[in-house]
Amino acid sequence: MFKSCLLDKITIIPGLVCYDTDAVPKEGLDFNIGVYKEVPFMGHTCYITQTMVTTWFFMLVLLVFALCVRAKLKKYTQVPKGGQNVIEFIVELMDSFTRSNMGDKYAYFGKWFFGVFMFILMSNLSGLLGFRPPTADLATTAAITLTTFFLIHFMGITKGKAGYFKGYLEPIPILLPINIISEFATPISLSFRLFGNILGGMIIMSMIYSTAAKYVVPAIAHIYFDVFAGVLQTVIFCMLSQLFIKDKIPD
Amino acid sequence: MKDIAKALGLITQIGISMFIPIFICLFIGGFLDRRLGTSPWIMIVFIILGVAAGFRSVYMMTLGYFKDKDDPLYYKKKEN
Repeated sequence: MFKSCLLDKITIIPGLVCYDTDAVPKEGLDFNIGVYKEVPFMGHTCYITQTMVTTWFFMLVLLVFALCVRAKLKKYTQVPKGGQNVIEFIVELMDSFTRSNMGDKYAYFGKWFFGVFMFILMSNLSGLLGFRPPTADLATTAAITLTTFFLIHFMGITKGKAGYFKGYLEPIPILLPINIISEFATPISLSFRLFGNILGGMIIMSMIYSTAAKYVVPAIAHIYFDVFAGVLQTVIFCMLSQLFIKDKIPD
Repeated sequence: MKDIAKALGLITQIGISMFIPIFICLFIGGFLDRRLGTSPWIMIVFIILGVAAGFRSVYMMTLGYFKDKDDPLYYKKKEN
């Protein structure tokens, strides 16, 4: 009874609950991830959702942009000129950001986080173009934080060696289950904060468009919910990922 | 500017890292209770564990921010 009542009231948890056609209201506002196509796969049904299509589109855009830049930089000069200035500025910005969080020794993480940063930034700002942001789906943010989770423990094991496993028994061995639970909570809380912020912005924006667009100028709300929150959450996501990875590496 | 973003990120992360372990433990405990038919005892134990884990998350995060070796609270990595 509780479950059905909850689903009637709150159908605005897309990506979190499984796609259930009975739970979705047929008219009015629909915040659910749109399912374009159902593909049978090994006895199960896979859903090609709006999130996936938008993600593929952004991947394509980023890949084509990167390949174009790479082709252009074939004849690079020691002293940059023209478009090379812009590219070097962006890359160096992310490098110095990584360096300030993780130290000079681990500045090579800047390349990985540059890609993550660009993808999340593009997804968050895509609400401006009328897309449903891919980061407003828990699946996308969970996938990105899964890589962070892997990096945290990979760096911890390779750099920390035995100290990494000993860290779970500190300060006293009886706290082992608590330490393990809180390690698993880290990626989940990271993914939920990005997902929740972008989803909240998206819901408020669609509410404004559907009801209050006559009286309120939506552009003002776009500045806060899409541009400000989107950029801030992207920066915070990258920064916290770097801090969590740095935390596992012994000095 | 970067310090402001850092502080904002940590402040907003503290709230989330407090309740996520509690919710994880709530769901694990409820699942085990339904499987074993021992409602509600495993859930109660897991919620207590979750509260402790949430406190540990917040503690470790603030500890990472104030990385001062003279701090008496700094016990981690003392041996290294």
